[in-house]
Order: sequence, then C-alpha cells, then structure tokens
Amino acid sequence: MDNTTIKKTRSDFQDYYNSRFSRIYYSEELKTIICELKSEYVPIEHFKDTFYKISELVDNGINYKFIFDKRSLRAFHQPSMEWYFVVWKQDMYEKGLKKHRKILPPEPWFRKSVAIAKEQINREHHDLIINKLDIQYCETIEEAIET
Amino acid sequence: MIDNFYNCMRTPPESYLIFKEELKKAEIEKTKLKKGYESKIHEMNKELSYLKEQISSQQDMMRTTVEYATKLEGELNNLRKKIKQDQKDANKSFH
Repeated sequence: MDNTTIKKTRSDFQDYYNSRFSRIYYSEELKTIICELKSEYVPIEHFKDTFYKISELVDNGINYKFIFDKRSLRAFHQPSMEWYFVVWKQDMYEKGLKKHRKILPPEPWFRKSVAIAKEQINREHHDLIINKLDIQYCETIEEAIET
Repeated sequence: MIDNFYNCMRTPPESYLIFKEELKKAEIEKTKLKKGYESKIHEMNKELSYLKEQISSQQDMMRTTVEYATKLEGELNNLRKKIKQDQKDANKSFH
C-alpha cells in the first residue's frame, strides 16, 4: 500500500454480499473490505449475519483494512455495538485485521451518542484490544480508502 | 323410459359440473389469497417489531445521552462551587 499506487475508488471494489440491511464490497488488491449499512436501524440478527459474512472475507486473507460506513443509521442497538467491539473486533484482530475506518452519520447528536456508548463499553470491559487497533473516523469512502 | 330416468339421475347436469369446477377454482383462489394475506401480515409484524426495536434503541440512546449530560452538569456545578470557594479562600488569605 505505498503512495505511488493509483488512487482507488469504491468502483474498484467488487460485490460480496447484499441484503436489505447491508452491502459488503472488497478489494483483493488492497485487502480491504467495505461494509455499508443501508437502513436507519439494523436488528441484531442481521447485524451479526453481516459481520459473519465479513469474517469469511477476513478468513480468506482480506485483512488489511475494514471500512465501516454507518451513514444511514439513525439509531444503534447497544448490545449489537457491544458484540461488535468486544467479540467481533477481538476475533478479527487475531486474524490480522487491525486497521479500521469508520464513517458516521453527520448529525452531531448521533456522533456524541456513539462516543458515550463507546466510553461505557470501555469502562465495562477493561481487557479490550481497541487500544491496539488503528481506528480512524472519516467522512467519505474515498478518504477511508486512502488513509 | 325408466332406464332413461336412471341415466339422467346418474349423470349430473352440465350446469352442476360447471358450478363444481368454478367452486374448485374459487377455493384454490381463496387459499392463494389467504396465504398471500398471511405472508403480508407476517411481513408487517416483522417490520413492526423492527420499528419497535428501533424506537427502543433511540430511547436508550437518549437516556444515555441525558444521563451523561446530567453527570457533566453536576461536575460543572461542583467545579463552579470549588472555584468560588477557592476565590473566597484566596481573598481571606490576603487580608
């Protein structure tokens, strides 16, 4: 992933999974996965299904970067978020996925709620691997691909 | 003539057969509509339960945010009191 690489965009990624709630794309070349949520709210069973699909890609070596586009969300389910942080990220870390890029909805109240919920999870789980991960918040898919 | 009568009794009139056929078609249609209706109701109930979950999650988000804001408000008030007290103490030590 050096700087001389031609700029990649969303169209360089290929489809992997598409449901009512989410869409997954990946680039074998960049070893990057994009997950785009498609609805205002994702029930936990569909949320987990989506992430199990992403795990399949990570198992197949697409494990350099994960871009999570949550711009469509208007509500998040705290237990889903907790599972994502405590279980899924840990599993993926063990499989080599350390770079996470997130795109949040623009609403400040939503961003604040996410931060508060994250703080709460951090307080309750002291052994989280979050500190060992490279996590950054971005505004667009292109920015997330580049950084 | 009696034979003819018995033959007539054994073979139902054509209109009856047509009616029976129509009835069968109507029953098939009814079953189909019922299944379609039940599946729509099932879908609607599922959507409704997602919506309920969404509302409950939004309420949780609001509750957590309000709790956090209240906590910050309390901390801010304590800080103000402390500053006031420190200022008072500082003034006392001057005189």
